[in-house]
Amino acid sequence: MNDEIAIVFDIEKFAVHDGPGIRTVVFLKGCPLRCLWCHNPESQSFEPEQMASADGTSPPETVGRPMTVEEVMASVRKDKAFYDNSGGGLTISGGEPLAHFEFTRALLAAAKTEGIHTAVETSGYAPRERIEALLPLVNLWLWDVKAPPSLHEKLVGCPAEPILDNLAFLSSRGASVVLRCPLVPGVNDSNEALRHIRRLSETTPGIVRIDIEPYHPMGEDKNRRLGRTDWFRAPFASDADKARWRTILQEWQAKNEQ
Amino acid sequence: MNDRIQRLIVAARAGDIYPKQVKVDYDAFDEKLSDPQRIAKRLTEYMSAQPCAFSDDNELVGMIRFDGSVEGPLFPRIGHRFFYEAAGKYYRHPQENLCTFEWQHSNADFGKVIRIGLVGLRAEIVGARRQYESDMKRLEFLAGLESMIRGIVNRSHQYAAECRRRAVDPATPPKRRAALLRMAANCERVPEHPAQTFEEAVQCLYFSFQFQPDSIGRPDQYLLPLYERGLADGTLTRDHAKELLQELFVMIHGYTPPSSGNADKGAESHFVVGGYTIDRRCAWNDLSELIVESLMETDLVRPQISLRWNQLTPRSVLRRMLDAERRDKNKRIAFVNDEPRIADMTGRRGMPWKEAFDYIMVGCNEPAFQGGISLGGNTVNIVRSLVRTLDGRRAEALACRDFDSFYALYEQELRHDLETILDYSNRFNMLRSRDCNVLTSLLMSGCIERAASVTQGGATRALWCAHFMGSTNLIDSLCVIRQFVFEEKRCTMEALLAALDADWKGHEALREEILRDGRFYGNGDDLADSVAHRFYRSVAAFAEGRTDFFGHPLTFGNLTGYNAHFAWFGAQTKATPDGRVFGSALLFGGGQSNGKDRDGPTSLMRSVAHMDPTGIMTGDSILNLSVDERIVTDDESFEKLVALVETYFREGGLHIQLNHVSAEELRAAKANPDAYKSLRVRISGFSAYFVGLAESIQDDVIARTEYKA
Repeated sequence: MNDEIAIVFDIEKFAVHDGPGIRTVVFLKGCPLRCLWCHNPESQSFEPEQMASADGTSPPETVGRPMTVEEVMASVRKDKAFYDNSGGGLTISGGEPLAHFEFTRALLAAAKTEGIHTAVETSGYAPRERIEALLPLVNLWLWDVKAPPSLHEKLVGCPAEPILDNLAFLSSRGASVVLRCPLVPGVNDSNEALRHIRRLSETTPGIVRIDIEPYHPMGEDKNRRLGRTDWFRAPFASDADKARWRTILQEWQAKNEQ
Repeated sequence: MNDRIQRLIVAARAGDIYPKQVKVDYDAFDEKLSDPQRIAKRLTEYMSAQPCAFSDDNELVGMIRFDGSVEGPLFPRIGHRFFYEAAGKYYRHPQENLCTFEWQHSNADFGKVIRIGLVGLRAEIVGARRQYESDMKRLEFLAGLESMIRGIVNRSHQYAAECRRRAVDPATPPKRRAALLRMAANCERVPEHPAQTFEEAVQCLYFSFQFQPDSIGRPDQYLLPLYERGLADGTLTRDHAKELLQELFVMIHGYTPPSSGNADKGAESHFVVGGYTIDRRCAWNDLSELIVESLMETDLVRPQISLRWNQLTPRSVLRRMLDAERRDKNKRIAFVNDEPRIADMTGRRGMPWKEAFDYIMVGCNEPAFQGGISLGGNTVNIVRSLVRTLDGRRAEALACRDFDSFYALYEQELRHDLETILDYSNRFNMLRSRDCNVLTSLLMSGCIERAASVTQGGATRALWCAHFMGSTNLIDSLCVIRQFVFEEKRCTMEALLAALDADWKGHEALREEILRDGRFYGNGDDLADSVAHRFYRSVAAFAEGRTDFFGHPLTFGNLTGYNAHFAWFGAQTKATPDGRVFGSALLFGGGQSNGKDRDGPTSLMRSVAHMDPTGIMTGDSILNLSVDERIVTDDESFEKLVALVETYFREGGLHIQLNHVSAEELRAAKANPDAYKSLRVRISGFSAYFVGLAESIQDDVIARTEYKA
């Protein structure tokens, strides 16, 4: 089982934004979605690819390399003392981890066996059976809410309904979920969109918090380095945008945390 | 902080606090006296001739400037009055690119003076005299100490008289008059007699500091009984205690004048809070908290504090100190771990717990003892031993068929260099022992009972240490030899040496390959970690059974505060197998740099925590960790940083200090990317090497960093 292989494009140690405590985030390469604002465009293709160096003069680098579950675990388990002392653990991200189902399942199982807390960061766009199979292996789901249903297909490249159904399923099975909301000014941050997120939080048991992830144009540079010629552009979120987000979303969170 | 302290800070920062030095002509006849007698007499006359200067804002008094006419600029840094001449000719220059000598940190036992007063020391002298009844030399020394006590008491009484004089001046406002009368009473009491109140204790410390102006040691321990008593009987308030501590800190800051080359440094007068009590409890207490609070309110660069962490230290205390650290723009706080250090003291070095528990941190980051001498101060180019192996013993190096035989060859050169360093250290201490010191010796453990100057073997507590520069260069270079030449056979020793001889010119591909694929130290890599273990085991094996000429065991570290040395020695050191080019600076500390730490802070910290299985490196070994400023500004991330540091200590890490990236540093990184290859920044959901970002993103990060700061 630990011979499963996936293309890994980064393993980040001392990750502090992807779940509780000190975590190692394993980024799997390949995603079925095409979010307009994707900040990790190199995570979309399921194959290793060439990316020009940032300075433009060094040789290009290959993004992604095949790794077995055991190779990944060799790196992950080294930080066990840090996880244990901080309430942290392993987060599998992507790309879309559920699109690497066998690998993800095997990696989660290996982490569980070693007593390591697990989280999966996902768009939730996957067959129900996969989610059901992973349920006993995942301590915390980091669940993206990328757009309200009316805009979902247009902005993300798939309908919202299967994702919402999966979320309701997870909730019904007692899973702990963090909603992760990438907010792009003027694109998916209308009051209606924010109210959608809030409604979701209020009506779905098991949601422990909402993480707001303000848009940043990091992906622009990566698109250029991947040789693409056209890509989405938006400004950094203004303080006024952020204040509005907070008013609608974080009040719920503050209330909920008490 | 009140207005009085604020005014004192302004004056100290402006350098406007120093009493004038009055030149003294010594009576020619005193040349006939023995060294201890003459020096005590001259010091007494000198001190007595100096003005009792203090401002209307002072409630603590005693500042004095020595002019070097009696002995060297006192003992602490130098020791011998002709030291500069000797050092100028010899010690301040690199010895064949191996070693140089700089000043050291020895430390007074201020707590003892507060506790038993000079009268208590005099009683010890009387006791010692009985043991040396027929030993004229020792009796002369003890007589010199007694004279010195009379000189010090005389000096404090002069201050008392000056306070009374000002108190009766009709122009003095009534409130100040009361303060002056209290100050006079304090000076009549201390340091001659044991301090009875917290205020007297701080006055004693303030006054005595200049006789050994370095670390004040563990004030949260030795001031605690009087602090608690004062609070309990209502004679002291927390605010008043804070004011006294702040006035003390202002003086300590000001002791190094703005005109000094060290004025921008915090190293002088570094002290500790926390640690263990003698009965093995956590020593952090209310006074520790007050000391930190008092210091953090003052905009000073000195003194510095280290938290002594141990397994009994609550996370709340570590968090409190890291919180102070993240807010302190003067960067005065560092963190050390008691466990590996005390284990080495009580194990390998054979010290009893009752001395080891009380160690302190001084200077840049040297461990030391209250009332103990620091021996060593040798800054060592440890890379040289490898260069000598590869160049001086080339035929033998080329004949090696495996890494073990190469390492055996290397180890011979290493031992040769370590012998040389010990020799230099002994020669320095012999030079210093030409000087008899009767002032500092009063405050150093052992000098009275041995009736010998601290410079002449009087000190019973000591820390001998040599400071490696470039240990990471060395370990990485050994790793490259093992990996590329012997294990993976990617290049021959001939090819590697040819590349080094050519300073990599014409061999760029090999260098690129090494930098890309090298299994460098600091990444939790088994090969690199095992090479580090092997190296430190060699150092420990060298030290085993050896002492310096005073009989103190040897300890090593990887830091020197003389940053210029890393460039200076590096400039003369040829290319090394780790990819370093001729002339570039040697790496400092036990960390990694230049993008070779590829696996994040946890791996680096684990490698550093486990680098030395022997304890030999529990001298001034350090880890500088740079973190994105937002890790410390965001409270949720900050909590994870607290856990990170705590885990590192639980894993056995000895020391850590943090850098959070500032906008200024980011701008420097943008202008000079090669020097900042390891600098990571966080962009929303993930992190990246700053120098790898496009310019526009860099500008954004800078802008946002600036906003955050």
